[in-house]
Amino acid sequence: MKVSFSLSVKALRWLLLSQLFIVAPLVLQLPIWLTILAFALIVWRFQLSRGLWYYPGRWLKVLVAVAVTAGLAATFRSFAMDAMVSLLVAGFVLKLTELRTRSDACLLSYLGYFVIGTQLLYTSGIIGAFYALVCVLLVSVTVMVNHAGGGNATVALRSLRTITIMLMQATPFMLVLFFVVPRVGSLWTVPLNNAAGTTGVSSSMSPGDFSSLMESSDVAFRATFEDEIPEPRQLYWRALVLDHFDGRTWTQSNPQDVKARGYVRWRDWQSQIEVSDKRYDYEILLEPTDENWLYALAAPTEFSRDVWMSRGMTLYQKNLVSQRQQYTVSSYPSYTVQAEGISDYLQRSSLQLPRNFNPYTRQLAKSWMAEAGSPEALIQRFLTFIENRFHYTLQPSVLGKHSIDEFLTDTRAGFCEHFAGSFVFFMRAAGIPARVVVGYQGGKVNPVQGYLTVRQLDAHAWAEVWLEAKGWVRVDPTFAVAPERIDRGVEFSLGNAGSQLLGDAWSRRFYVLANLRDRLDAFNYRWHIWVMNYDGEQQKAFMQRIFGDSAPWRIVVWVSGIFALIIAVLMLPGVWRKSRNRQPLIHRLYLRMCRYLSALGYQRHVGEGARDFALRVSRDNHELGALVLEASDLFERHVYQNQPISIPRLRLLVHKIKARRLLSPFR
Amino acid sequence: MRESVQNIIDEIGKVLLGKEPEIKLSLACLFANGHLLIEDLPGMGKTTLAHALAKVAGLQYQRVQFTSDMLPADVLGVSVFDASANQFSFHAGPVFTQVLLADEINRTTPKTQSALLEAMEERQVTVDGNTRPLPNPFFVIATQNPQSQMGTFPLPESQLDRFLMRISLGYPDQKAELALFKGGDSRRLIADLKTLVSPEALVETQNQIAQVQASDALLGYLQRLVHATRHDSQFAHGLSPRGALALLHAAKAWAYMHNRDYVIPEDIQAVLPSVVSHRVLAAGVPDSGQIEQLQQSVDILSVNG
Repeated sequence: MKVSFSLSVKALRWLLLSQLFIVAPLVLQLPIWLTILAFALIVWRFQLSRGLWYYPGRWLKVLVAVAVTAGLAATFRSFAMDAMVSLLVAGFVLKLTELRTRSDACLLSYLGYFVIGTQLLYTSGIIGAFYALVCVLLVSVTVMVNHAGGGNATVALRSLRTITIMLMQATPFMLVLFFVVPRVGSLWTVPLNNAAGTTGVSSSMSPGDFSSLMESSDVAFRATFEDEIPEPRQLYWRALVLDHFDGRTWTQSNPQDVKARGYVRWRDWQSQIEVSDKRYDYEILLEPTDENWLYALAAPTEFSRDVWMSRGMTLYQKNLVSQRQQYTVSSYPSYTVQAEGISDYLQRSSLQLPRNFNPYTRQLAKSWMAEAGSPEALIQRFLTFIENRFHYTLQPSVLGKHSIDEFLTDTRAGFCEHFAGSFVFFMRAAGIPARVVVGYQGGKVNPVQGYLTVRQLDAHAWAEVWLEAKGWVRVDPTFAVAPERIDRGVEFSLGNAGSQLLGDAWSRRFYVLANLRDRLDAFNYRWHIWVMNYDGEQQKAFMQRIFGDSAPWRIVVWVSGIFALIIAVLMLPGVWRKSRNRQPLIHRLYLRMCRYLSALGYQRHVGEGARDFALRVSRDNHELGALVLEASDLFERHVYQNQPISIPRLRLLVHKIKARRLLSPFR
Repeated sequence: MRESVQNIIDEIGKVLLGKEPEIKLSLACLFANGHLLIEDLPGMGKTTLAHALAKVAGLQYQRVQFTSDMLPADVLGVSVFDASANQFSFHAGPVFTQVLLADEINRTTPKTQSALLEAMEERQVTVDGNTRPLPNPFFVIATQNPQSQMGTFPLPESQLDRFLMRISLGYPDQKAELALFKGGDSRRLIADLKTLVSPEALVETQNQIAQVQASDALLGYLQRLVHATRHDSQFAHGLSPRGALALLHAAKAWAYMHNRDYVIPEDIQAVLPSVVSHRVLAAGVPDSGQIEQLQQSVDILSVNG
């Protein structure tokens, strides 16, 4: 019997299909040229399998490999994760150029499993997880088809069935292992430099920043409140305080610099913030931002241990948020902060204005201040002024050097950043300490799960002024112009044409889609809370709840018990089937052997006795025949002589015959 | 006894060249205590087989050539008045022997045929109110010419049933025939054959064969076979219960000859054509693969245990 080691066309096509599925979601992370190369290689290999195209020469292969390596080096210049994944994918597809034998295909399939793993570095949603599972299924079928050496017409279908059953059988074990296997921290880390985290509120605000944010309906974070959700008017999610203006861009001045490795803690905040009235406890599930600041409602008083408060009363942590993260906060919407006074330094920085910018506004502010007499009156006058004469739009005119002058006198149309920026400028010009606060405003309650979803299009900027005896007071000039923006959401504050610019325009037009999106979002949320977020702490709590105690021996006993139970349940259908048809074990073993033999090309005829059949096999194949003869003899002695026989021996023989089936190329 | 089975076959094979399967079948028939019908043209070695079998088994041997004017008394024997003793004395016919070769049984009248067949079945002869047992063992080898030949009285199906097996010898193959030409006179050769079995040992063997085990699984297979003959339009008659028992008994003898004390399906299959064909096929219809087809269509392993 000759065993063929060459790769079957069928296995190759399965391999190409799985490669296509595996590489597809990684496309977003790969350099564009590598994507094109990958798909070109897959198409080329497919054409080659049809006999249309040719294998490349050795020098061409070397050239391509060198070129790809050089290309990767030029594109990334570092050993960040994206570079590593790209290298892996490059190897994964370049191997196609020298794929000839079955073992090559086997190797590539195994590599496929690894590449599937890298998919999960970029997604943590449930859809991504299921997609990865589909890829695993495809690769496994490839492995089986490849092992069968192509086989007959139904081999793919049979493999698919087998693998599906195997995956389903593995599921309960996966669940148990998920719950009990100790969570070990990562052994090494690769720096992330993916582009996914660059959307979101940034550390500076210049004209146009927000309008691009509003084109995105991506989720920024989700918040789950213990009790009720505060009114929309109270939902000001603070991220950063921007108090330095250079004439065009608002940035943080040093003291509140919330930046990785450059942050400053506000140590005595507890003595400077006074809270009263109702307290809200909530949990935030933050999408990766690649920044280190966190979001919270005003006057956060309690928060997780690794979270700190900045001088702007915003929260931050030391590390970048590079993956989904969960934290809990308690906030009081009624508060006073720094009512006793602010430091000279803070006062100075809150009055800072660039020279030689917006002379008209400065003058106007001074004259209005003189007329109004008090800061409160001045604020009121400014708000009335913009309320009557300004309107809210996402398509403001382009502003020149004296942007605020132009905005206040000429264009008079803009959105939050214009209103907040000009308000703060105006106040500072009038001598009132003021600052810009950026973050999100509002959010949408998910009707399915009852949590609040805050998306990028909810990005917002507002202002705070410092008033004697009142401390920092929030003033939102946008509210004066477009109150519905605050009360109902940004999509209700724009005209029909304007709201088309928002990121989620398409889904708002179709109710069904919106509903579907809510459900999917709720599902994803639960997935994260229950699955992705199951860490060492949760595990410990879970074990204590279930097993009463997290002593290792107890867990071992329980887990063995659960495993035994699962195996018993999995075997139940077999036991049931056995009791249903009274085919004795020996008969079934014999019939199984006959099935394996027929796969080897020896079909027992219906009217052929065991001994005759065995002799026929042994005439053709002596080695195999010896096994079959012994098995038939055992069968015969049991069935016709009514003698006790060694069933394990029979089983062993049947298994040996099965093993030979796997080796055989003829199936 | 078991050990000598092959010796017996070899010994008979010395005179009946190249016919080992037929020798085995006839030996099985003898061991199963049944009667054998050989259907063949003249001169094919029927007599030689019968003679050799008797000689090797150490049995008495008689031959009756049936003709159309033969009467039952010519076979069974007759009571003759013995004047000296002043009483009837019984002159035993040729049937009172251990091996009877009934040559060309279809040449004689049904009356004579049935007299012989009754004796075969009853293993006793009743003449003038006196019942006389036949010797034990008692083995009849009947031969008949194929029915296409003129002037014959074909045996009715009911009487064919009395024969455990029907075989035909057929022409020898090339090699056997050449050897036959070279060899000497078969009669002298038969006389030189060694007697390997005693009649007592044969009876003992026959008793032992009755003890051969047939498991439930095997009886299930037998039943399926029998059932198939009854529901297949190819066969003129279904296999009777007696026919089924005959099949089982022949299979037991076959198993015994192969040194087993249990029957396997292959035993049944080995004897199936010779035991079954004359029982299920209409008279005069040759076996043209129907039995082979039957054997192939019935599953050895039952679906439900």
